[in-house]
Amino acid sequence: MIKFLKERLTGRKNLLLLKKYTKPNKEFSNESRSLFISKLKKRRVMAPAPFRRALGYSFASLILLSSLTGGAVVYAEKQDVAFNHPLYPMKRLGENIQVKLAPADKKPAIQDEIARKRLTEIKQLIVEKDEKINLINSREAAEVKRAVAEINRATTENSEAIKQAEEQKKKTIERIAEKHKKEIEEMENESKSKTEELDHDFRQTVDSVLRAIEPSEKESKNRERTKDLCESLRKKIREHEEISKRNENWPDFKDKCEEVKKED
Amino acid sequence: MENPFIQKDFNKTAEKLKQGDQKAGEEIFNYFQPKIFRYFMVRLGNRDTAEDLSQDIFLKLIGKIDSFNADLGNFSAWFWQIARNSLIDYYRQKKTTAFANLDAVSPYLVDEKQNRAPEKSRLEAVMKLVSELNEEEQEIFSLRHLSGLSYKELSRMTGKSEGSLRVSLHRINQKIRKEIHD
Repeated sequence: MIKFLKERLTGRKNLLLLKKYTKPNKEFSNESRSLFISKLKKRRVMAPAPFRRALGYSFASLILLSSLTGGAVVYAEKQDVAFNHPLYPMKRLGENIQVKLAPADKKPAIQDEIARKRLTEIKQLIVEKDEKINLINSREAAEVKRAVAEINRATTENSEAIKQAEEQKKKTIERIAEKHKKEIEEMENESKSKTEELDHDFRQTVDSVLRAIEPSEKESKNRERTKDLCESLRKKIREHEEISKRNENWPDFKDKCEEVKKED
Repeated sequence: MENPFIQKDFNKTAEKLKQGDQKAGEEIFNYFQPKIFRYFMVRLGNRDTAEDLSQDIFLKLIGKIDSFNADLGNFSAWFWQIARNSLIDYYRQKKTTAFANLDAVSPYLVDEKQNRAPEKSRLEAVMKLVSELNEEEQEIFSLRHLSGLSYKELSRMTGKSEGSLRVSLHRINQKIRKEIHD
């Protein structure tokens, strides 16, 4: 009995130890909370979702008529609208204008920020895709369950009827599975083409940052800034490789950023 | 004392979060962050990666909260599904062994004043057992024992029935009985 109690006590202690080990550390939790809340505060200024959506659609048509105001551009840019939002093209337009109007030395930092946005949008698309697949799968399971229950209810004691019902169940399940398979395929293709588009834009933006690094590279006052940009790009490229699941070749990055690293 | 296996209903809090309510955000963060972090820690075995992923989850939450519909489901299950999908994505890209870097994280174990050698060896024994569980067992173990999910929540998340989860957990408990008792 004592041995049993001792074992239970040790086991309990070990579970607590494991809980302690897997606990997030305070510093990280505080930083993470602050980041989360600050992002949330930005959202606070936004109107409630249904209103925002309605506003988005009405603005889209308004902008066509009054592009001089640039209101939609500012709105889309400020709200950092998602890829599938009607005002997304306005956001991209705003980014282009921002790059065009910025002084040469500020351009790389702006483009670096734009690359970050593309990366976030790619990640959002991937999450959305997985969520849609989960939804389709759970819908499929529910449909199968409902259809089978209906067939079961209609089946009598008669053995011939039971046999026919089994056949019917099999066919129904196959039909539902086929329907959802097609749905998933269509959705995956759509998501793939959107991801490729964003992927392309991400690469172009990173290339622009790399191109902009060149002229200022030799000036000592810009060395710190160049180093920061290279470090920021390094992280993004690594993250992008993880998302795209392939090793990527960035010769310009090696030429310019490795050079900065070596000289230091 | 609060029962860790009883899930709070966060649907109303989630609705407030949609409106940008800071208090609702803090409530959700404080409740879910340690649980999700623990889940990632067991599945990834790496504190840095667990931190990155758990931080990402909360940023994703802000972007995704508009798509949450309380009429269609429970916030907790919806949020856990996002966490689980992120982990699946991560796993597709990089596979890490559970508790691969004990030395790097052992400072988190105990107070500096204490001698951590005995705790470390005990923990190593426990973690060896956990790392020997297969991926599905690790998931069920961490979600139930460390994150404190109810069978209902686990069932929603994994798509398994509550009965089969009870059976799986019983088997897991048999395997780790030597070192861990709930």
